[in-house]
Amino acid sequence: MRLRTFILLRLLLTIPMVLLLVTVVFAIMRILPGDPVLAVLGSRAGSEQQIEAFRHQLGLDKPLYIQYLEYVGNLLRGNFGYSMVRQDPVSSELGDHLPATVELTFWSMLLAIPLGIYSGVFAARKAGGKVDASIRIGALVRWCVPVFWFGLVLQILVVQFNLPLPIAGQASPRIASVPHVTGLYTVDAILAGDLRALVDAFAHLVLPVVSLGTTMAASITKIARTNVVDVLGEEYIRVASLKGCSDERVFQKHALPNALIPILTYTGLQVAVLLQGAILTETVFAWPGLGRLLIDAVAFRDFNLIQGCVVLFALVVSIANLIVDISYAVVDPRVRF
Amino acid sequence: MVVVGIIIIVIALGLDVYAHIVGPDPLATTYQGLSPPALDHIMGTDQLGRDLFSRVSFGTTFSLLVAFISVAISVSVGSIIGALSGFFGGKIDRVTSLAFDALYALPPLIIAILIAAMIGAGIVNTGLAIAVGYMPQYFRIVRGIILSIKERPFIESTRAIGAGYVSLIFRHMMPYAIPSIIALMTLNMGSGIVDVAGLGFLGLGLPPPTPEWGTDLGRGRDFITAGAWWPSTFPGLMIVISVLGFTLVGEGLDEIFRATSTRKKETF
Repeated sequence: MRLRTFILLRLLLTIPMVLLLVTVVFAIMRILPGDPVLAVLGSRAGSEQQIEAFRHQLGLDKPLYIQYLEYVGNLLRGNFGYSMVRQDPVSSELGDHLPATVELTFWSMLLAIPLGIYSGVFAARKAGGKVDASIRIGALVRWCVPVFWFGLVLQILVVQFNLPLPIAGQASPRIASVPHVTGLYTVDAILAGDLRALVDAFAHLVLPVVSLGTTMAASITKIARTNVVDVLGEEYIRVASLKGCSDERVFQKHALPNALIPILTYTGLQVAVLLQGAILTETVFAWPGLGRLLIDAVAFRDFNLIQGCVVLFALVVSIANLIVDISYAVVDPRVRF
Repeated sequence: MVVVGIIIIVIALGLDVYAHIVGPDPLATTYQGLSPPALDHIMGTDQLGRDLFSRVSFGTTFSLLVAFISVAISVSVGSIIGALSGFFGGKIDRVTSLAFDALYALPPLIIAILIAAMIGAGIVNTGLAIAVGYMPQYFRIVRGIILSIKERPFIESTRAIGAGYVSLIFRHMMPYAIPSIIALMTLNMGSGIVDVAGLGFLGLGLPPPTPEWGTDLGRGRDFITAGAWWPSTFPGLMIVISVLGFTLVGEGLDEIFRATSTRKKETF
């Protein structure tokens, strides 16, 4: 199969996958007990008639399959519905909060991927030794530390030792005057050429990115180490050394490229875990991203908004899987068949 | 690895039992609020003047119980559907596989948040909310194993001597999946504990005044800027210790089972 055909096929396959995810989310929201109308109205719930009127306004009085078809139809047109509490289209709420999450996850990955791969590979090359053991134990323990508690501990350290780092938020109020073109504070600061705003944006990123990034790095380290150790045990590595390649060359040319393929796949699949961690990290650091939005929506029982957030998360995960599969096909031609 | 893990779990449970027998009441608000760790309260007290050591130790019961309920639900639903789907194949298999694939794409915590928001919190409800996200893992493992042994001659002979579907699947095929299921269950106990705490931290966990690690450390974080570090430190420490215990046992078991299965392969 040609690469182009593969990419096209894989793209087509994404459509039913996303549809299925939307269906699962819809099913969970509608099959489980809990009445969105009563939940939103709460103590404000008036007469039966008022409740019915509100139900009608939201279209919740229609048969389930019509609600489903309407929902999917609207989604295809990019319409996520209306936030019941915020009185605002869900899509604009999602759009407002997306950049903050992108910024957080981007910098976290930028920390996690090199750190994880480097320490995993480093451990694997010293397999069996003390360095290997301490990297393995370190990664295991870090993996067991929940991201939100790690964040809290960082905050505690900053407070107790009076370190000059912000412990919450995305920017200091007095500096947040840079025009928000992209919504990504670091990019906006660069675009505006404002050095103080840039330093401020990075300072706010330090704690959240360290919390989230090291969590991801821990699992990448583990997977990287295992894969490199496995590859180093292969026969073709022995052959390469026996025919006189230097250790360094064997490692660079024969071992590393083969070990990197599964590591990259695994890293791509970690995007789902990264999103899950982002929700918690955003809560710890009052970071105004999608995770915060979701948790607020849950607190107010804002069903359309909850649904919108989860569908967007699902979409991001599907796209990440798509990218992983395509890059896999590019580096390893066997996959295309 | 397994031994160290078991020792850690036993210590955590021991603390729990100790607190139940001699410790102060985790709900009694009789002490000075937010007093730092000292001899009479080795972990200090929380904002309502409850003894933190007692709450943290009692919390073990709830966290482990909810995590265990979630693992029990996900393993039974996931592996039974996986076994049936792998065994019978056909359209049913395609539909269930697709559904579980879709579920697998969503992170377990996001599914748990969604469900917890719908059905509310409680020991069983929270367990169920967490369970759904982990079902696909058991589904995949069991389905894969059933598929790989379905065509073996001994299955055909068992069938020929008159074994029904139920006995065929659950008595003759399932045992092959059990080692992998046990290793996965132990690892998921660890993830389950983190998820219970995560939900608690997000305010979707067990309702107060239940002593629960995630909820407690979430409430304690309001006092970090005031310099009170203990209310959000110690519950987290207990989470880490118990997760570490289960993860060590899980990874250790996984290595042992994997080693025995490759050894078997080599002797063929």
